[in-house]
Amino acid sequence: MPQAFQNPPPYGPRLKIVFLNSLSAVREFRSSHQWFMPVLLTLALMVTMVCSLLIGAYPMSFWRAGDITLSLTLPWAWPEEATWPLMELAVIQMIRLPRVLLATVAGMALGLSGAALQGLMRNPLVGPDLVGVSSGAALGGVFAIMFYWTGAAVVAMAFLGGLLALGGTFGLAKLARSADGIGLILSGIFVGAFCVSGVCLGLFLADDHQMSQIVHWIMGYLNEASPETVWLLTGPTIFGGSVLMLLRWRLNLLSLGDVDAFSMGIRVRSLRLVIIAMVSLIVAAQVSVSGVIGWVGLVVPHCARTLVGPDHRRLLPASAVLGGLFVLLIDDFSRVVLRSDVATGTLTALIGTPFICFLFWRKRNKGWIHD
Amino acid sequence: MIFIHRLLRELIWFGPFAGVFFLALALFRQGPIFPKPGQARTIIDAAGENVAITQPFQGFIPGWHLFDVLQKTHRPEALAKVGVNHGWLTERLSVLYWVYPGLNPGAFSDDLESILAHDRGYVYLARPEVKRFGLAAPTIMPSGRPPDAEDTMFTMVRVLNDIADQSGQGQFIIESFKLEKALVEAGVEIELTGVLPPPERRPRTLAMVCPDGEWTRLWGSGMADLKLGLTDISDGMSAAGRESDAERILYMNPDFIILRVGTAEVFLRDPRWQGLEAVRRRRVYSNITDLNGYTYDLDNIPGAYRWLAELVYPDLLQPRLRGILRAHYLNSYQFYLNDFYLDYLLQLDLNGGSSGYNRFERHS
Repeated sequence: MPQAFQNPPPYGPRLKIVFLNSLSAVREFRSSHQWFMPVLLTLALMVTMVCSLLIGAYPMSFWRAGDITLSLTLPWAWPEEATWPLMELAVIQMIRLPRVLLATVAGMALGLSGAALQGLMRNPLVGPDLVGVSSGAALGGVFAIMFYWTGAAVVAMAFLGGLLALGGTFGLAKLARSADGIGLILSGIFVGAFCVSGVCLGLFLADDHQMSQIVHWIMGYLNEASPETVWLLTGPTIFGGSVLMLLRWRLNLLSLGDVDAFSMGIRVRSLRLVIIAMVSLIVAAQVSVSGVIGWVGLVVPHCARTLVGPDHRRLLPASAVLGGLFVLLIDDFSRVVLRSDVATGTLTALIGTPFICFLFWRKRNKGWIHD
Repeated sequence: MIFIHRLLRELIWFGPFAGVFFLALALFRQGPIFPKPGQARTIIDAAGENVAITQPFQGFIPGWHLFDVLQKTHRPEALAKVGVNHGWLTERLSVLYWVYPGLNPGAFSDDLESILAHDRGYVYLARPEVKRFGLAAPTIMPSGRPPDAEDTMFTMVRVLNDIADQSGQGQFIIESFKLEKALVEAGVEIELTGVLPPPERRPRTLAMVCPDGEWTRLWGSGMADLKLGLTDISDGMSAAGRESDAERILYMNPDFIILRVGTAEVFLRDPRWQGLEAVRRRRVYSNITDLNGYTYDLDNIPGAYRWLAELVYPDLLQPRLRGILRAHYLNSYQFYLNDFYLDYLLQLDLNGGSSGYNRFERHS
């Protein structure tokens, strides 16, 4: 064997240097062009949403679908004399538009709340489903279904359930004197397990109609999108999201630790309560209209962090946009490629779990567990 | 200037939210209003609502109602060649597939957009949500469970045949059913007159589902209402879970067990049930139909009545069931059930080990 093959040149370290150089170039570009990432993400989201409106099972030309979409979104008449069939207009306006919006807003809600929770708890391992909020909201919603309540009552009960579950998780972790590390995750698992058992009890007691409703709901479906469900989710998400967006710079201070944050004038206890309430509101609204869609709130902030860094002023909105993109693309895949209503929650878990496993392996646990 | 620059840098992150909100405003636009079809007939459905059926009528897209369309219209060509490929129904309907050999329904994607791509002449029996797109989706079964299952069947017969524009055929099916049922009941009554045992010695029967699976469950059978003098020992009980129901069944110790789902052979082998009187005497039978179940089996109800009567009073009744079933298929479908079809319909293979079931075999 030639000498050169027996002792290959050390390409590995060289490649690593090139890679690190390019990463630092990206970081440099990002810091000097801070408008670039928000514009890119906004464009990506809007283009994906519009493209999602143009594709589906109904046989319709791309240009016709584009015309109809324009006519729906522009404030003026487009075109002057619309000539498309009513059914095509109905497909875009009554089927695709609510579904695309529901998927996007649900993803945004989960991404935003996941990033906020991770900042609040100084732990990148938490997400709405890992700290019991989703299970609590599901339990509250099941309770409402068992009493044949509908609409806002389901949202209210889901909110109450989510709030109580998150409060319980936090309280339990405090009692165990481990409020920001593995203790918090364990508390979330305990509270989540309790809520899941409540949901199972509800399933046992439910009649056939309630049971199918509950199962449908727990699995996380977007196929019952309607203007009502979109607004039922968008209202709380806008309100809660606005509060979180306004508080996002305080989250940066909170991530320094309670003592440092307090020394900088932050009322830590009140801030925590407000953030918990807003996250619960957002997650409850999401769970109440589209069921439990897991892993988005955990995985998406990690992706956002690689794009915009750990600063919560950028991390929160970036997580929201990436969450919206992620759920929308998954729903498009289910709707257009699979042509069946596979539960969105199932698909997000199928993709999210390997991804978080990969991150777990790559980071070798660094920075994930404080205790 | 620096302040404005910083403000813009912050505000730019609100862009995506504004975009989504802007798009969501499109939801407030007036939705399309579908005009009534130009050529249409109007029928009244089971909910009492007027439903316009676009002409020409292209067929039913039945969902779970495949069984109903075949049995209650006797018109397989009214079935659309889409959306009726349901595995277990296909298996249950084997006899009707033999009756209609040309019936070869294919599968189709049943998402809403695919449905809307079809011709407007189709009628959707299980998709009420398509009403808002101006499509015909009549209710064919009265809401809730009515006290009389026959009323439900007759309503379905009327609505389905009205949709298929053959009201006369609907009336014929109803009258034939009534006549056939009355004849079978009268036949049993005559043969049992004066020979029925006293009430305290009459059979205690039980209906249940899935004995060989994970879901043993009591099932109200309505057998007590069949004028056969039977005592339905699970009457008024509701399922309480696998173990609880199993214990209740062992405690009640019925004389006869009718399995709605599951095979008698497996039940008879199950060690759990070996202490039961019905098992010791091998009086466990796989049901040939639903006497009062959720499918409202129009074809088999008269035959099932005779089936049950012959099983519980084997010494008092003559074996006539094969002839009754053969006459029914000949009358309703002009189809001669040969012995192979009859053996299948009577589920001889599932009940081979049950006591007295050989009375239904060809030689009897």
